[in-house]
Amino acid sequence: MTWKPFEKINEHLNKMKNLKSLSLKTKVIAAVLASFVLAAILLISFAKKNIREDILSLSAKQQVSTANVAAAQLNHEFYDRLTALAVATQFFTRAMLNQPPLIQAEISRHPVLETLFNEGLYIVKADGTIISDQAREIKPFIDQASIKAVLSGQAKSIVGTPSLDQYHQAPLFLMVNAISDEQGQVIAALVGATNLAKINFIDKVTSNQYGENGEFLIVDHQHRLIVSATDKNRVMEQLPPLDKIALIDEYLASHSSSSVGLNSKGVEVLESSKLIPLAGWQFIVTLPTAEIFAPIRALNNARTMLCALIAIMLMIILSRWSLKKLFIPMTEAAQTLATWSKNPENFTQQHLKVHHHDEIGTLIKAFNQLLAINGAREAMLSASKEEYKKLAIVAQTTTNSVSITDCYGHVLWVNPAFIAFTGYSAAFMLGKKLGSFLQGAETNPDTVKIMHGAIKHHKGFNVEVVNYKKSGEKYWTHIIATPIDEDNKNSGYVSIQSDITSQKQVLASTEREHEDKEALFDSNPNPMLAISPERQVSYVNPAFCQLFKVKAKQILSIHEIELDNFIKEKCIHTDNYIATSNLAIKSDIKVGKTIASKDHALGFNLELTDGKVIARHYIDCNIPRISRIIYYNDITERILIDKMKSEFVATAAHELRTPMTMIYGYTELLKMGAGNADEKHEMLEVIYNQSNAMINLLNDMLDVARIEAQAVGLLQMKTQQIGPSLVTLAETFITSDNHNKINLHLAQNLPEVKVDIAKIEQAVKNCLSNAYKFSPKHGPIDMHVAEVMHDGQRKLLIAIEDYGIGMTPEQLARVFEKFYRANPAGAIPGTGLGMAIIKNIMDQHGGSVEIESKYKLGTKVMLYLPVADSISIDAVIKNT
Amino acid sequence: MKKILVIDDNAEIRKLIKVSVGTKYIVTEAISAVDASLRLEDDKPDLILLDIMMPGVNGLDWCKLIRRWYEYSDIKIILISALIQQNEIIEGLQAGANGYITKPFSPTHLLSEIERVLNEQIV
Repeated sequence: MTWKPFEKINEHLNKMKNLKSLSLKTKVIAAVLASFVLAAILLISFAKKNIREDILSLSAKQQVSTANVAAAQLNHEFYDRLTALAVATQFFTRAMLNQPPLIQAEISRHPVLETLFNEGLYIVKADGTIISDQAREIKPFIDQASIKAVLSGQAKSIVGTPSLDQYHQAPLFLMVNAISDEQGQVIAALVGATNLAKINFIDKVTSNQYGENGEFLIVDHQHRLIVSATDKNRVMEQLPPLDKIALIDEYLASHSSSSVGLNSKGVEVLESSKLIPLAGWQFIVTLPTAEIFAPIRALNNARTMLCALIAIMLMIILSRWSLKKLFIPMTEAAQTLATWSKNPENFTQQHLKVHHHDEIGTLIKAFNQLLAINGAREAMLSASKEEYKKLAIVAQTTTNSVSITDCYGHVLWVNPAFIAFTGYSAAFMLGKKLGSFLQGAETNPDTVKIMHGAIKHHKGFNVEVVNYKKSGEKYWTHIIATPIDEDNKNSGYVSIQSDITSQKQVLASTEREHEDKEALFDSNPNPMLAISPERQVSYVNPAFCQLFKVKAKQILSIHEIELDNFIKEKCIHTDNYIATSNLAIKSDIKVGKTIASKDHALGFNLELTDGKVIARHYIDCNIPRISRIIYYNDITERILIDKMKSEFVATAAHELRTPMTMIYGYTELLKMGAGNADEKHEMLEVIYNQSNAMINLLNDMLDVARIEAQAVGLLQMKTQQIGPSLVTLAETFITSDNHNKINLHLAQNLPEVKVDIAKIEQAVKNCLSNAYKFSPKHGPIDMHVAEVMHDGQRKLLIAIEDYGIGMTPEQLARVFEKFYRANPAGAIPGTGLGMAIIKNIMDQHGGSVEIESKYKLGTKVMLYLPVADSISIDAVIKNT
Repeated sequence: MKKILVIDDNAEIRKLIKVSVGTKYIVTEAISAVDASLRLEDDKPDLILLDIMMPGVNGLDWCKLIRRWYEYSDIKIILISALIQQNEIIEGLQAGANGYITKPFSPTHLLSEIERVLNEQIV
């Protein structure tokens, strides 16, 4: 009996031999596992290398800074002591040197000095005598070199070399400072001794441990001697000689360094050094690299490996579990599909369950869509089978001729009705083009072209054409050919032909009638259009197109709503626009009758953007193809004239009020018997004059009204010489005082002008009358008549010039306004219409009026009339 | 006798008014609003007969102007005008006139209107 799990593993192993048959789950897990392990290995090896370097560099930095701090502190200690010695030298004089008790007393006065040097303070005289405080036994020093250097004046102060002093039985080093007399001569040396074996100021730093196995050292690099160390046993230890150990040589050579190397015991260490400048010694920090790299070694131990193993196991279990859960919908779907395939009838009614909306969910959804499409297709297939059956019956039994051709028009099949109608047998027609035997003399070649064109581009067509039966009988047929579209490729046509011969005959006669009527409407100068029962524009006449500046085809068959929008766009005010599309077409109209709309007579006024005003009218009717007729009237002119009339009437009525006031007022006064005889006479005079003024005003008003209303065509125009008329006019012109003289200057060979001579006389008369009114009595009036070039045209000029009161530029600017009088308060009577009348007359003759005037100097009015033959001469010039 | 100032650009009208009311009042004349403004300082009238349609400053504007000056606030003003529309008359009275007479006018009516306005109590 085998152990079950083992059996399972074995089974898995067997499966793994054929990788392709492995389950998706296993594949994913294997891939994840492999990448995880690979990543872990890469990470560790990479980390080891990098971390090693990083830690080393970090440790080196730490060491260097430690060395720097310690060296600085020690240097400070040396400085304090050297300064203290230098100060202390000032206490001792030459006189004191021969009296040791005095010196001893002086040293005892400064207990601080004693604490700075643990082996005491001494004075060494030039002859070598040593003086110290009383408590101390006097012994010579082994380091005579330092003392001598000071006594001989080689150095002011000095830190001596440490040495194992046999006299003092201890490792010592001295700090020596010279004592000078007043002349600056060295008379003795003050010596501070430090015992390295006792607790001393250097120990404060070096007695500390650096890390677990690291240590501090102070080395006199000149003598390769350890001055102080964490390990007290190493004090005064001689370092190996030069070139023995590279690491030691290196740090002894520089002021500050940090490097890795083997130390004197053959252990790899990281060492950093820093010079203590005052002592000339090196401060050294050293730490075995084994201690530095301890954390990296820890990475390799068994505990870490175990952790990794557990993590891998956990990962396998987790991913197996989650994958299993993820794949549940898939396996379920596969099972469902398997069950369905056993029972295909239910296949289309169901769909697979979607558990989650992840990738698998999307896959199942897509699958469901596929199933649905498949189901729909099957349903369509069975439906179209039925359809085909029915279609076949239709094609067989219809009286219309049905044919199927290939994409080039060759007959593939015809229905019995086709055979019966044309008289050709099916066998005859098969493989032939229908046109080749059906078309004849009266067949419209343009229609044939349309059909050929459509076939060439694989498009359908819908035409009416003349064809011939086998018997030679002519008939009209309506062909609807529809391309059979298979896989976006035209694979032929189905054509249905119906006999429309009788319809055509009826149509031909109505069309003639229709054309006549349309010609009638086309010639209508009023814009109009017709609306079909479908509320579409079915007809539009040229006048409409002209008014709205649009082409007929742009308007034809658009809906009435669009028509309203189109017209609205052309209007200025659209707020009150009444759309005809909103007005229902009357339904109770008898056939062939019309009903005019309520506002038909007045119409609805539209103000167009081009300044025109038009009235819109519409009539509803019950005529085939026409339900409503809309037509428009251009009433711009009428509206303008109406406006002018009412303005004119208002102003005229106002103007009449002034003379009326006078007449009314004075008559009432007379009636009441006011005033004496003279005054009464005066009043009557005023009444008479004012009545006269009123008559003049009324006449002028009538003239203006008449001239303005009169069309140019109504003038009695005649091409003539106007010289003789003007001569007569000048001679017979009579004024109230008859004192002024008219000087008429007629040029020779005056050209003829086409004028209504009565009107021109009136204009000239008005000019003369003005000239009189505004001239001082007896002032001359000049009238010149000559041919001139004016605005590039030959003109006849009649200029009337007076030397009277003239006008200011402001007055001149308003001179053509109706009822404008330059000097209304003055005594000169007038209506203010004279110039308006002159201008109207000149306008009607295609001429013009110009006025030049200078205040208090006079006025010159120039009337220009176009010369009768000027146009023909222009034409001659152009032609040559 | 009370004083009346007639302001009208038309000499004939001024004369008619002078003839109509000259027996009962002292009548002075001005031919424009500017002319009238100058006269007001020398000789303050009790009543002004003012034409509306005049060249330069028109009567209506001048009336509004006069009404803003405290020292002339007690002068009565009657507008005489050819403007006869209802809204034109209302506008005239709103400008601060005490009366409004339309052209053509009857001298009798003018007299009675002047009397009425002069006897009107200031509330």
